[in-house]
Amino acid sequence: MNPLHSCKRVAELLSQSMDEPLGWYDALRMRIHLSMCDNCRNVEEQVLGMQALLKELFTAKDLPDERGPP
Amino acid sequence: MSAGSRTVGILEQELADLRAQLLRHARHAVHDAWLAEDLVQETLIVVMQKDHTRRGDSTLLTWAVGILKHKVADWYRSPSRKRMVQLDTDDEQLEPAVQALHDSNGAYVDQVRAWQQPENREEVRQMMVVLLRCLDCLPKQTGRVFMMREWLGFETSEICQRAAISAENCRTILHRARTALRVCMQRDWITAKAKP
Repeated sequence: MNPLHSCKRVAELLSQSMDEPLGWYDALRMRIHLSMCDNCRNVEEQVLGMQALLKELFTAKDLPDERGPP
Repeated sequence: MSAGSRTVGILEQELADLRAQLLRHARHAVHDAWLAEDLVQETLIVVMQKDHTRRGDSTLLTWAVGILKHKVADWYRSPSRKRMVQLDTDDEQLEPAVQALHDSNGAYVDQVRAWQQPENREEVRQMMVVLLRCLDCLPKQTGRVFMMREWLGFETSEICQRAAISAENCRTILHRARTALRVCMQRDWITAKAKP
């Protein structure tokens, strides 16, 4: 078994870890991958950043009340 | 009399603003304009009737959003409405874009560039506007599952039950939704930032 996850698998696990605890071995392999991979670290920062922005988005008062393109 | 009508006028404007804010939340939460209208209307009724019970430490918007969340959660939980919630899963629509990110080894085809951090409130606001548009682009059922998780804070087990999907399916939908949003932000936020 490959000790390291692929970037694709890491993206799946990043999402899963936002909803439920990962098994220790998956979590460990994901952390090691992240420590060595700039792309995946950027992905992590972006998905977590979007989650934080979403929380703020729904209490923001200064957004236009617009519908996006249908 | 004149003081009274002025109070009503302010209240009306306040309510109109509030309604617009709530509609934005509701539309994204249920992906259905008519249903969103109904839920917001029900929320405004509570707001009108119970405003005197609101504690001074919560703003009108925060308080009203809390009520709306209950209304939306109740809607998802109501057995009589179950059939309406159970749409076909539509996250496969996102699959080609998600697949295209990786090569056959699962590595990124293109370098993932870090996003420029917003430097002030106006840039945060612009970023939120882009995110809202990206949310609008999610397929309906995918958007609902995503909002049940991120806005209502449902546990995935409850989402599975409400949307009648398996745990694995739910995981996949949430992953595809987040990836699609990230790709959309990557494209539109960076482009927006690059404009002079």
